[in-house]
Order: sequence, then structure tokens, then C-alpha cells
Amino acid sequence: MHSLDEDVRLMLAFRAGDDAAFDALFERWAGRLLRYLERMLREPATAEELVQESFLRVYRARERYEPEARFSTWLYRIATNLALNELRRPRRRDPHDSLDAEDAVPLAEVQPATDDVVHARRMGEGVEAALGRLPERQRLALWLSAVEGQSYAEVARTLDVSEKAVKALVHRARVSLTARLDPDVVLGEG
Amino acid sequence: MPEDPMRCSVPEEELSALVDGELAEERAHELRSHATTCARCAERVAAFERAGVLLSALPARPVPADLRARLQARIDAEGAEAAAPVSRTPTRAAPPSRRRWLGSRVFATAAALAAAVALFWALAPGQRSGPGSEIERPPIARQESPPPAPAPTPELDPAPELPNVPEPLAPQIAETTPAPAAPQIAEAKPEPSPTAADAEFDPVPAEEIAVALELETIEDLDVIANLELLEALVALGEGTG
Repeated sequence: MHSLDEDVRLMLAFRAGDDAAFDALFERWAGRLLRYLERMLREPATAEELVQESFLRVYRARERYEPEARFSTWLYRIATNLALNELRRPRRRDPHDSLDAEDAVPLAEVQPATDDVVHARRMGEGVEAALGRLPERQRLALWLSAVEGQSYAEVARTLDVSEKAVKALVHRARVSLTARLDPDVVLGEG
Repeated sequence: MPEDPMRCSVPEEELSALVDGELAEERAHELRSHATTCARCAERVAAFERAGVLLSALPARPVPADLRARLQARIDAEGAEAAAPVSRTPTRAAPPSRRRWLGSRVFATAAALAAAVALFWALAPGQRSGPGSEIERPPIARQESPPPAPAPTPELDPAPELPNVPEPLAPQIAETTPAPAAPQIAEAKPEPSPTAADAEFDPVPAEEIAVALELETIEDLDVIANLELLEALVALGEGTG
């Protein structure tokens, strides 16, 4: 029981009938989940759909919820399974085809174009492109570990693989990512 | 003293686990100390950490203002669906597997009957004429029993298919059909027993016919509508064979 986990507390309150707790969970996690799904799918509209679908499944499962793990681990597992299903749809574009600049989530919409921002944007595009070229499981494992802060055990549960496999996936992803980035960027000199 | 990078044996995967905080505290401390004197490990650790920083720095798009409302609409729609009374349209159709099985059986029967009809028409007109007692057996236009559901249809009338029949059949048949009479056939061949005929043609039970009547294609209906006629013709053909 994760007694100190605020999300677990909210989920238990929601299970008991407090709909405001569901709103709070959505507020806390929808943004992070959207960012995660956008990076995995590179299709903003689909990512939004899967955020909805993930929370819809949380809603449906509220009466069966048991606080056996962090709420976020459960939520990301739902979202990851949805994302993997989406990535394996036959009509989906080759991920490499979606790495063109026009497909990237535009930073310009949220940031003004100063020189520093232009530089950051280019750096971000390079990182996005390198991330997008990783095999999907490496991409998922690296993001969950390095960005979402999940332990290897949590990532293993999310991806339904062993911890040893997660360790290898994360490492290979890191090596590939750093190899594809400008050395100056990787070493923080850019 | 700096360590020779060429001689460093620390696996890179362990450095990655170090960055992820997955190593035991003691081993993590050892590696951190090692990296202060090993340029290769120091560079890898720095690059791995930097990669995580870069990923985390990727911009996040604000959650669309209507996303929660769209989610709520889906939740409400599901709730309304669950609350709605379940409307079950009564159906007499058999389940698909049963329908498939029955369909194949009906068509198999139809094929056998069609072959028998062909045999019947291949016979000479003289052979087709037989004793009235034989020919009266087919349940064609039986007045005493109601026809099956689709029976009173033009397809049941065999008149167009029997243009050259010289004589009317039995009186009760002649009222509706000019089927041929063949009194001498009964004398030449014993009347097949109903049991034998049933076994040979494996008639479809009434329950299955009722289901088969729900088959959706016109062809299916024709087969069912003409089933009795075909059976009669087969029996006649057998009597002459």
C-alpha cells in the first residue's frame, strides 16, 4: 500500500464515489501523459485520443482498483499498451517517415522566436528525431526511465518484460540516442 | 592518477544503470569514484545524464482545454448506454455455425434432388408413365394438408417444366399439374419403402426446415419451396430406375 502516494489516495477516493478525485487525477496526469504519448506516437490527435482512452479505462476500472502499485505505473501501463497497439496498426506510417520537420510537434506554438529559442528548438528537433528513430520498446523504456522516473521494476511491469530486459533496453536506447546527437549537444557545449 | 581508458572494464550498461539510480549504494559510490579518474567512464556518464536532461527538456504541449470535456462526453455516453434497457430483437435465425451447417445440408440435399430430377427427365416418356398408385405418392398439391410456408408460390407449379407430358397424372394431381402418369412402372418395380427413401435422402427434420426457411437468399427459398416436389420426382425416378 502506497500510503503516501497522493494519487493512490485520490484513486481510492474516486473508487468510493468522489468524482472530484477523478478530476484531480486528470489534472495531475493528463499533461504528462499527453507529452509521453505524443513522443511515442508523434501524432498529436492520436495522442489526445489515447489520453482520453487511458482515463476512460481508469474510470471503468475504478471499482476494481487495488493500490498495489503507484497510480502512475498503472496509468502508464494502460497508456503504453494503447500506444503499442496503435504503433502496430497496419496502416500506420513508418515511424521514420514521421520525422520530417513538419511532423514534429511545433515548439513555435508555445515559445517566442529569439536566438536562444531558435537554438533550443533546433536542439529539441534533433533530440526528437533521434528519439523517434529508436525501436519502439527502447523508446518507451528510455522515456519511462529517464523522463518519467520509473524504476526498472516499474518499467518492466509497464512493458511486461523482465528487469534485466529493461536494463538492456534503456542502455541500448541511450547509446543509440547519444550516437545520433551532435557531440556538442550531448556534452553540453552547444 | 588517471586510469587508462583502454584498460577500463566497467560495462557501459552498468554506467547506464548508475545514471538511472538502479545500482546498490555501495556500487554506485565505487563507480562515481572511479569516474573521477577514468575519462572514458566520466564521458559516458556525462553523455548519458545529458541525454536524460535533453529528453526531459522537450517541450510539453498544453493539454487542450476541451480534452476533459471530451472525456466526460465519452463517460456520459457509456453511462447512458449502460442505463438504457437492453433491447433484444427476437430472432428465429439459427446461430452462424448452425446456419452454415444447415445451409450445406440443404444444398447437399438439393444437389442430390437435382441429380435425381435430371435422371427422371433422362428417362423415356414411356418409362415415366407408371401406375397411378405409384404416382399418387408424391405429395404434390395434396389437398388434405396445408403446404409448407413458401409452398403456394408459382415455383411450386411444375407445369412449365413438364410441357410434353401426354397424360394427366392422378386425378388429384391433375387439378393443379399436368404431371405424367406411369401406371406400368409400379408393376415393374416394387414401391420403395418410406424408410429406405428417408435413409437415402436423409430428409431434413421439420425443425431444421423451419430454420432453413429463414435463409436469406432467394436461391435458398427456391430449394425449400420445391423440396417436396423434388423429393417426389426423385422417388418417381427411383421407381423407374
